[in-house]
Formats: sequence, C-alpha cells, structure tokens
Amino acid sequence: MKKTFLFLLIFIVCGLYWSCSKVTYDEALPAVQFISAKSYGNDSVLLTAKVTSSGASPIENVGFAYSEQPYFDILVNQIQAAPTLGQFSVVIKAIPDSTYYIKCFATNSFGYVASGNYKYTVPTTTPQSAPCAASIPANSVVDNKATYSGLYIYYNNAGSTYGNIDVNATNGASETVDIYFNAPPVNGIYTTSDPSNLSFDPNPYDCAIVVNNNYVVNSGGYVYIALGNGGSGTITFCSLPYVAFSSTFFVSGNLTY
Amino acid sequence: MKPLLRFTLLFIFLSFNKSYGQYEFNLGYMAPSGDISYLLKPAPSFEFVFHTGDVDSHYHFGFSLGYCSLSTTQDTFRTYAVGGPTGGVLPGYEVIHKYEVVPIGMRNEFILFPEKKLSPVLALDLVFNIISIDEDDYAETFIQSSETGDTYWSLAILPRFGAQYKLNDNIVFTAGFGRSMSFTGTVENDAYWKTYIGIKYYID
Repeated sequence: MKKTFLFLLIFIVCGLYWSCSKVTYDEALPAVQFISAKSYGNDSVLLTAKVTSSGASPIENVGFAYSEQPYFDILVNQIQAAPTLGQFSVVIKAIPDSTYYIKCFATNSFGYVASGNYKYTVPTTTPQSAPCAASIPANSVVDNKATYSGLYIYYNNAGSTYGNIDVNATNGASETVDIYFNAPPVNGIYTTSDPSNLSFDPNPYDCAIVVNNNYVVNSGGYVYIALGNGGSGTITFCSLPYVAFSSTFFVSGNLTY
Repeated sequence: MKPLLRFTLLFIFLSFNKSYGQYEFNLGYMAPSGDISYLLKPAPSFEFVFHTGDVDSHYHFGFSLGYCSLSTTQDTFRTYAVGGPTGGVLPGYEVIHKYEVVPIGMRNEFILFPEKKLSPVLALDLVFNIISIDEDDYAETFIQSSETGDTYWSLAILPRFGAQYKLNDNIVFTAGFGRSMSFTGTVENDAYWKTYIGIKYYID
C-alpha cells in the first residue's frame, strides 16, 4: 500500500511539474537577423536578412524598413519579401553618400519582431560620362544630326514644372533642352522617364528630358552625370530617341552647368 | 450565455437534491498548454462538483462548475495588423487586463477499486469553457480599441488520471491531473493542464 501511495504521489508531483514547465512569449515569436547591405547597381542597395526561427507558428510576413533618421518603426519605407524561413533579400533605391538606418522584421500569428538598426552609408559614386561624350563639342546638343553649340545653360535648383531641379540649355528659338531631376543630381547614370510622374517617382536616379519644350525623350535612356567643383556638373547623353511629328529623332548632349 | 444558465440551473438543482450521492471541492492549478501557454501563466483554480453514485460504486457521473483567473506572461504583446492606408504590416500591441475561465463540466469517473482505501481513478470529462477577456488593441494608423468583457467559448474533453483515499464512508480525498483539449469554439487551440487536490463528501 505504501509503495502504491508513493507511486501515485510521485506521479502527481511529476504531472504538476510537467504542467508548469514555463515557456516565454519571446519563444513564440520568430527570430530574425540582419545579414548585409550592399551596393547594387548604380542607384540601389541589396538588403539581406535571415529568419533563424519561425517561433511557435509559421512565418506570415518578412521585410525591411529604412529611414535616414535613427528612430523609426517598421512602417516607415516598408518593403516586404516573400514569407520564408531562411534568407530573404530586397533591393531598395538609395542616394549615394546618404546614410540609412535599416531594420528587418518577421511576423507570425503571435506577433512581430524587428532587428536593431543597421547603419549603412551608400558609397560615393564615380563620375560618369556617356560613351559618345568625346565626340560632342562642349556645351552642345546634337539633335537630328544638327549640332547646336554656344548654348546658354543654367541650373535651376529652385524647383521646376515637373521635378525639383532642372538644367535648361537654350540658344534662343532654335534649340531648347530641359533636363529634370527629382533631387540635385549626383555622380552616376540616370534613366529617362515620364516627366509628369517625376516628382512622385521614388527612384532618385530617374530624370526626364524635354526637347524644344514639347518633345519628351523616350523612357529608358541613359544620362550620365559627372560632378565638378563648386557645384558644377557635366551632363552627357547619347542618341536618345524622342518622337515628333510621328517621326523618331535622336538627341545627344554634352552640357556643363 | 444560455448554455451557462442551463448548466448552472442543473448544477444547483442536483446540489440541493440530497438523495443523490456526493459533493466535491477541488483546489487546482490550471496551466495553459499549447499556443496559449506562451501568453498566459498557470494559476490556481477551484471547482465545485456534484456526483451521483455512492462511495462503493465504480462509476460516478456528475457536473462541475469552476473558476480560474489567468494572468499574462508579459504586460504587452507585440502584435500587428495588415492593411490600413499603406497595406503593409502595421506594428501594434495588445494588453490583456483580464483573462477569466469558467469551466462547466460533465464528469465521468471510474474508480478502479472503490472498496479499497486507496484507488486509482480514471476519468473523461466534457468541459464547456466560458472565457471572459478585457483587452486593449492597437495597430499603428489602423486599430485602437479597448474591449471589456469580451466573451468566448470552447468545448473540450478532459481525460484525467488520479487517485482517491477513502478516509471513511463519508470523506474521500482526491488528487490527480489531466489535460483539457478544446475541439471547437471561438477560441483556437485552447488547452490546459489541470492538477488538483480535493475532498469529497458522501451523503448517507
């Protein structure tokens, strides 16, 4: 009888101990780790992180948030990747010489976790010149095979019709070229896009060119920027197509402001 | 709340009808299990039971009514919502101020050796849990709410194993443990380990 009683007592004590084994809320949450930030192309940064544990339920969301300020939550500039257990990456647009604070995050049905801030300064880009730059006289535009030199070029940083900044090259009535940027241009290769959307465009390396006040250069062309001293810069571009009077024309330029 | 009312009325009716068997009072320890164990801490519980059957019968059938107030594993839970103006993951939090469980049970106990002083007990109960929660929910730009007395329910089975010690023909001490596992209801994955000690009083 004593043995039976002892057995039952041990059994119940074990049951009590077993039922009280403690787990924490943090164990239920996923675990995520920031791996790296690397320059990606001319105007982007590749962010990589890893979900090291899904916690107590499957992963529902993963992603990054970033800001130029150190205090921010995961709602700021949030970009998501496909939910996964393991490594995930996204590419964000970034401006050279700028410092970004980046967090990665993951969620499951218990909640979310975010990593601490990862500080990353985008490297300075090198000055870029178009392949045809040497064949175009300085401060000239070649439009439909005609060369327009002696242009009056000015840099307008007080805002413009479409973007924030434009470079205007004109010699009066015969040729005008407006180049719009959504931020002061920096060294690198820009891509032409629709000027009407430029001010809303999150890509800092988009620009727009309008020829003779009317004709928009097709999207996808490359515009090269080489910054000089004292706020000057040289913009070069080669044979960028635009449509006027149902025909396609090509414009090249070598403009220093 | 209708099922609660019916169970309570039946319980009271049986309790006052002394021609039936026995009263039992249990002090227990209710430990959340499964998903809710990450959110709620174990807590003491108590339970009143009314059984049919006399002290020497193998099978006892009865009804129980219990109460347990559970506290949370931490003050704030880092919850989130998806949607809002951005359609993204919106960080937020949840604070649970109160989490109370009222288990109403239908009990089926089998005493292996009712004639002996010490006997193992096997049981399979059906439990209707009523859960009342007070909570604050917040998700940035999307949710900000404070709820009081939100009521949920679950229906669970509770297999138990324990022992009883017969002091005399009127008083029996009991102890045991079991696991309540919900299979339907408005609370998902609601499970508890229950460890208890109790005293039964048999009416002559």
